[in-house]
Amino acid sequence: MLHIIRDSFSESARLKNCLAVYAPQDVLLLIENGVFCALSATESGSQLEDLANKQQVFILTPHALERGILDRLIDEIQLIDFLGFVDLVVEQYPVLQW
Amino acid sequence: MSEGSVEFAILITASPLQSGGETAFQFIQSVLKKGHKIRQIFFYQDGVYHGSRLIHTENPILITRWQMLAKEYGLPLVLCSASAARRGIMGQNQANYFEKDTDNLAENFCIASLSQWFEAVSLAERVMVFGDVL
Amino acid sequence: MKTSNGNLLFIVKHFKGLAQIRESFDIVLAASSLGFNVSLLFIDDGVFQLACPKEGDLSALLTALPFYDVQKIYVAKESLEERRLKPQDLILSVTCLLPNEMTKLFLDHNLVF
Repeated sequence: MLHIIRDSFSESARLKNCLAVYAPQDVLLLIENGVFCALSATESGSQLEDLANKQQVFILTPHALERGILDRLIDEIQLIDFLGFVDLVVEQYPVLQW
Repeated sequence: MSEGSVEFAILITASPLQSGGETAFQFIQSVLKKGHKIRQIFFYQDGVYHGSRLIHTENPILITRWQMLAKEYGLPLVLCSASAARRGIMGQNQANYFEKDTDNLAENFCIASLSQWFEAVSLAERVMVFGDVL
Repeated sequence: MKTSNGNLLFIVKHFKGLAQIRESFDIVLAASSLGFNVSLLFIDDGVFQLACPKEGDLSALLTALPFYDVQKIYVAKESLEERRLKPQDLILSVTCLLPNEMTKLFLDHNLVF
């Protein structure tokens, strides 16, 4: 299953809810303000580190770039563009939007 | 690992002024670039504003690019009839029915009920939603 | 993978007033009337939707759901507890779910809105 987070950790409890129901074989994609969840040296960033080390966390590059945080993300996070976004949806379906 | 072409149905509740609206458009463009198909794009709640002919923004391309995409790929762009009426977006038929003195549906868009969306849902292989529903 | 056996899950995450909720629930009722199996899950502030006063239009709208065949109503147990609510405070009979039970709920549905 593909989990998509659109809100920052400060906007809602969506990341927290997502991680509570996340299953081992799932993947996570951060888009829009959700990209802020992957900021390094933050609580939400460290919550995502385990998953990122297993290559399970993806971030939409254009949205991270737009928010000026491309060089401040946790390690091991996978950068993808919109074409990669489409591939993720096709391959990891079903999708859960938080 | 290569995947064959799959068919999408897309629900958009985000307006043209929300980030979800922009994300939806770029996602759809990429779906088509990758050679997949789109059965239907259904605009619901604030998403119906994408189909208003009278919206004016600083970026004129924003409104016409749906039409460009629709023309190039033959995309069905469908507005939810109830959501559209609530927001004052009507085609000629709706305007006549509700006895309004004008219509404002953008070219290449049409208006239909939620049953149209669910028909697409039951036939598509991938369903994506942009914006909140509930 | 086609959504052919029609299990749809709608997640309510916010509280909405009457005007907004009427429109939001259009899609829930339409799905049910078209033969899909519809479930609702209330989480976060969405649980307050079920804790509204027992009299009034909002309550009437929600308590009518079972008459439209929307009978599977779930609530996140943690969301209730965080907000100091109990199942008996709610206007509908619900099934409370723990996180691992919600994971199973998502997998049991073809499409989650």
